[in-house]
Amino acid sequence: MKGFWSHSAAVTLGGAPGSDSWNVSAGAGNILKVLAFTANWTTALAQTLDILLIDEDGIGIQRFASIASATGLKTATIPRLNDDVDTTTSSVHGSSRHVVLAGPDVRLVVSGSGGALNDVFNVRLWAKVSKGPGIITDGFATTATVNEVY
Amino acid sequence: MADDDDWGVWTFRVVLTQDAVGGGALVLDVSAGAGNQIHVTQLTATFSGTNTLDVDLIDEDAAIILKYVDLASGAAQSATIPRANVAVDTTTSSLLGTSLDGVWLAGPDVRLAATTGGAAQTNTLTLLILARVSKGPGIVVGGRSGGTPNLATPTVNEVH
Repeated sequence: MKGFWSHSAAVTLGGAPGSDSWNVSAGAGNILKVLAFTANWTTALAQTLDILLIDEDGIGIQRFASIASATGLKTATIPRLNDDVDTTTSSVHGSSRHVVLAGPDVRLVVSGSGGALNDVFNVRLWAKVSKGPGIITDGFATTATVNEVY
Repeated sequence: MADDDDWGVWTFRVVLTQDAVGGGALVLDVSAGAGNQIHVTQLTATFSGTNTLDVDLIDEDAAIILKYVDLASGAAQSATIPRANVAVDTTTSSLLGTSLDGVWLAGPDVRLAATTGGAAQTNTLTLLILARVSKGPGIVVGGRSGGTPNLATPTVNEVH
């Protein structure tokens, strides 16, 4: 199958304040190319919001967005050119024009610095897929409002 | 993965006119249509009135997946794809992203939407598209507009 996957979900944080994350991988035998992605959450406490690519050991391969700690609504997206990172910039950030995921272990991660109980963050994803939808992994209650493959 | 190298090229132009005395927002939605995939490589939306003009990728529930253009209120504005959107960088909290690689659409429900703020009577929203298509032309509708929109017959709608 050469298709497209649309996925939108609300993720409710079920625990005490702490580091919170949401992950997506392609899954075994599958490849994803993320074309458009948004993560947002609204927090009463000052928190950060990051998007990064991690390897099989959970180590960051590259970082795509790092929203500074703030209260209220924070939104991070893919793709971004991230032109604040240039030839003389020491940074773990790169442009996110193309984010490709393959197999079960390489993951795109949305990470917050610690939300409060019942905080909700929203994800919306649009991707090319080689065989089928990706695999979502997180430790919280997730309600997918859209999950379609064309 | 879908690849558009061997796909056809679709060119399209249409005008949506606000006929209502009381006015209302104008919206033009572009989808690929059932069983079809398209890669929008160039798009221009021009609003003849004075208000905001946005271009968004929206999901099956009409929620915004990603915003590509977000013009503040002004007169006779145009919004385009692709754009680099360098105003959004690594630390910017924003729903906007770059459209430098164009926009891919598939199926009948994921749409690229050009949306104005309130339009006065006789105001128009003109949409011009060049896209690669897997099977045939995309589908353009004005059904989510306010007031009484009048979608003209497209003056260009060809696949080569």
